[in-house]
Amino acid sequence: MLLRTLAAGAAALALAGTAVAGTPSPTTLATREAAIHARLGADVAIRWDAMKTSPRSLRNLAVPTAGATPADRAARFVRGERDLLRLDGDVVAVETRAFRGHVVRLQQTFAGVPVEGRSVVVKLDEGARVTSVTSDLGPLSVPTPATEITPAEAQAAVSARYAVAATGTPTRVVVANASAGRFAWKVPAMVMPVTGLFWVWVDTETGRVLRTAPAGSDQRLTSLPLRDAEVAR
Amino acid sequence: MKRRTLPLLVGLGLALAPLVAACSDGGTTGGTTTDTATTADTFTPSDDTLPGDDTVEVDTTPLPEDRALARVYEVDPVTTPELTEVELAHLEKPYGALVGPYARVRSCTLDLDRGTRSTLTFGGGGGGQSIDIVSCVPESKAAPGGDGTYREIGPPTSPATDDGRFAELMMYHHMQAIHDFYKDMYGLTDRDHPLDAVTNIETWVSDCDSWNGVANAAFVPHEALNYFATGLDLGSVSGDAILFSGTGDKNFSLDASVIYHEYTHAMIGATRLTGVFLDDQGINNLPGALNEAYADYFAASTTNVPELGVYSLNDMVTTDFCGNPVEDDTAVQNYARDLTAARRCPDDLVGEVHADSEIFSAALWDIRTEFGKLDGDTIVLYAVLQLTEESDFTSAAATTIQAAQELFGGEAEKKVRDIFEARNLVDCRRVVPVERVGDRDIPFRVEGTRVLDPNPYPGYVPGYMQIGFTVPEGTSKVTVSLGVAAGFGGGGGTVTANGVFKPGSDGVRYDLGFGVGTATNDGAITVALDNATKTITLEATGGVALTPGPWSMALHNTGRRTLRVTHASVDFE
Repeated sequence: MLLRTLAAGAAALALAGTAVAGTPSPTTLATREAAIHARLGADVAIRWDAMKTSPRSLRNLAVPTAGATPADRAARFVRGERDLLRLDGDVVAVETRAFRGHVVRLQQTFAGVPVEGRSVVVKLDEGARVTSVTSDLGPLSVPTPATEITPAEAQAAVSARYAVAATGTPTRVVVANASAGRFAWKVPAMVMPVTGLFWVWVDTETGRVLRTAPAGSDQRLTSLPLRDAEVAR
Repeated sequence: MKRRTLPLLVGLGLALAPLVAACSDGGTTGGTTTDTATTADTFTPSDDTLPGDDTVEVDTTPLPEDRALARVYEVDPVTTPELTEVELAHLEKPYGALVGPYARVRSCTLDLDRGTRSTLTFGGGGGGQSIDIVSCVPESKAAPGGDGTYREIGPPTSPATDDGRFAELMMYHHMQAIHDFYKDMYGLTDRDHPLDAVTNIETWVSDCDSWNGVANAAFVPHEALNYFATGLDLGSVSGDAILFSGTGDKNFSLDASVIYHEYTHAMIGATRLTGVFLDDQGINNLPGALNEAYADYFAASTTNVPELGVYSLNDMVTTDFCGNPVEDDTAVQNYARDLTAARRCPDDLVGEVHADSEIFSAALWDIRTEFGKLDGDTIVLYAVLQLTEESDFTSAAATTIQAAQELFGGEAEKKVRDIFEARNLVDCRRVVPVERVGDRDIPFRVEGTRVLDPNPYPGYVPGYMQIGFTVPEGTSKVTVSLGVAAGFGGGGGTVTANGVFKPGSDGVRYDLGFGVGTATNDGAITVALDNATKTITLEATGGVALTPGPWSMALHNTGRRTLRVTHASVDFE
């Protein structure tokens, strides 16, 4: 699955022929609002993400959908409204729950790679109409790496910086802070068995550590211990 | 061989500090992804399925002896000290290990010979320090006695006699209870598989030749466990897991509220409410606080006790790790989270997800109080399902108000809106009154540039919150004094930061632009922090007084290390 999406992503980048996608539109918020109302209905209630100038939520919708499954319907809706929702890349359904119709959660992907922290939830009523949308989407710029470090080099970068007992197999993701994105290796790292598990995101091009986070909830150890050389920096 | 424990709220990071002499990055939370879709059965609230009261008829018929009977605490040893006889659900005959279709429960055996040994090396360049650690071994221990039931297994009389069997029973029973709640009431089948649970976890550390427990329990997604080629001690944990440890006098598995809390984290999943994102007020880590709020709410709603961790989190005694004291304050502490507390945004924000969660979970408990358990739970759960990785208090409040409207109409919507507005959660600006900074003994953190990459801000990182104060009439000079240090544990080092001031209570607003280093803000004046005095002085020029009324100050960290602000004050001239 991952290999397939990576291959598709590589192809998409090659076709685009550019290192940056998703240049923000100069369109004003008012124009965006008018566009949403014109396309999805005058009664749609919009809550804006002031930073991304994209909607964080849309309510009071009644938009018919097409597709074989709720996940398919939701994905088609999001792709069809990519400009209004400010979707760069694509989405993949990760969860469908039946509750007064269906609630479908989709993960954003860029060049076939999951974008960390960016998802969109589409609520469909019993008639398969979209009634609400909750969204993390927004403009995204992800430079294509000129070169890439290997997964093993990413693990080595983590071990060099942090006092960890072991690192796990990295997966390739996109890390985004607002519109600024980077391709990264997401490396599981263990400080202490069971009680000290972390994620470390390593830039695939430069080998820099981009961010860290405890893996899961309520981990006792909330920060990775640095090695002495890093402490001194 | 000795056994030692770690105190609550003093993380392993701090406890290890004397050993590793290491500094630490401030962590930020990221999400994970999966392409596994799940589908649940349909649930539609109706008059039939949502009765107006919560009356439950109790069947008093004696249970036959060939059922999987056990004795457990209904909540915990303090709240419900008498053991209650229950039937362990979903176990098939012949009864044995506590493994069923929805849980695989084991306790950890402290065995130096069989535990996996690994080495932690600090420092580097050949001059580093190493310690060996050995993990305990997860094993099933609870088994039926001579009468074919588990009734003979009771609570351990002391930590020394805690063989894990009773912890396994508590864990298994309460996992079934919360699983069946989510499935039977709402058709959620996400956890229709044997979720791994391990109790009595301790780790042996070579430097002190002792097994060490941790005052904690955690949910860990499988993505964090499955990728270790060596397996370490976790090779036998095959999916997501909830992991429980304890202190010298408390086993966290004996607290149903903690079991429900961790299970709810597992139900919410590893890819919802895990994000940290940048918004127009700085860095927003409230999705994690929401995750904690929902875990607390459903735990409290299930136990019907609006306090979390009455047994496990209260009466905590400060102790040491490997002989190293880990806290200056040795007083007994109470850390149970109270959903009836008068928490409000932004006054009670501290930037730590568990502490901040109390503001939102208190509002959720108000909803339950207003609508009853069944309808309250339904409104809250319906909203949770529609939240994303980056949903924050404002998003969640709006979604919950909408959920109330959809489920129960306009009157319900108004009631829920009023509840959120009473705690200022409908659109809370994260500007904390200066006198509240460092309140609750939790430092106000501002991450360093080394943990925000790529960085949209030009050379700085803003905080999770800003600081608010009121300038009196005729003021020409404002001096903000900070108790601030850079690095882990206030380990010293130069503090390089700026204060960005703006009149008004809404706080400095950011525009992130597009790409690295492109962010701007609407602050009126930027002043560098005086590292010697740890003060930031705002002075009106030309003898003109500063605008009286509310002002906001955003602290911008221009250094690599995380800043921790323990207190703040303002003087006016």
